[in-house]
Amino acid sequence: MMFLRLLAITLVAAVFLVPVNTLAVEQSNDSQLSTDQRLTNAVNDQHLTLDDATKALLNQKCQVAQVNLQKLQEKTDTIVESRINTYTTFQKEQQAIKLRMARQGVDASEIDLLIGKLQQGIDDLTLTANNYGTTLRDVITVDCIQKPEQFQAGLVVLRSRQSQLLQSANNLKKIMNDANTSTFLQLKKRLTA
Amino acid sequence: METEHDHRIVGTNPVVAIGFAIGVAGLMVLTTFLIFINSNSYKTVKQIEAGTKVARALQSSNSEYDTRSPIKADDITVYQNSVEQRLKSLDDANDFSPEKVSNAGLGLTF
Repeated sequence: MMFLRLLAITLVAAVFLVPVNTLAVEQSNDSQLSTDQRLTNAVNDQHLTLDDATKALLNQKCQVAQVNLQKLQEKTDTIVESRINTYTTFQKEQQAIKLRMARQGVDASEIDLLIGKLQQGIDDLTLTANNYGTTLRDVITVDCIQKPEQFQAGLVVLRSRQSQLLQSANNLKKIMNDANTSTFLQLKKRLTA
Repeated sequence: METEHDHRIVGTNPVVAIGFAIGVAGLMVLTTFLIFINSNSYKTVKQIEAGTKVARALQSSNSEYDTRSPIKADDITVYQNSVEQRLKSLDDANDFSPEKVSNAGLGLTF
């Protein structure tokens, strides 16, 4: 009886301790759906209904917005690619520093951690940018005059993903800024010792 | 009454006692493992693991960088300044500004 109680307590504790992302496979099925399915899901998820004024506005101006979004897509693709290149270059440079220090017999193992943090940040930015790109393409290609709800719902998703993209880019920058006071300071101390 | 009953079972049957001890030990291991999985230490281990993996991949494609000459603390300072300058040129707030997809930004206003 006591054993059963212990078992029950541990199982309850385990439910609280295990984060959902430890057990779940992080895979979005969104990419397997068609544009129409994705946007219909977005409309349903948001319980979106448009009033007449909004419909009239979208009818009148959504195609201009789609042209603007097309330009934004090209620009964002270039920016994301440039970010990824920049942080990959940092990784290469840090690896070179590590090798130079290793040749002098100085430990620079912190650099592995920094490169790992950067890699996680780069992966996150890539994934976020892919999701963003999918939504952006959906909003650009949808027939916004015939389906204003889908267009509007897509815009809501796009805004949320734009914020995630900003957060992801900020996170990468923070990793490098933090390295100034942690990793590099340690390396310098070791080199002057 | 119930406690007495449990005590009697555990105390009198060695197989049950050993099974009970193994069960408790297993639960403790499981709990410790779950705590570790959720800790910052595990996060750091994963980051080091990722770093080592990338570093190994970079090692073979790092021919464009100096990996041989001696290095001093001053070189790290120079590198830090160079990183700082490059980071300053990355304007995340503007490049990924939410304003770009606002109604005004897209021309969706009356």
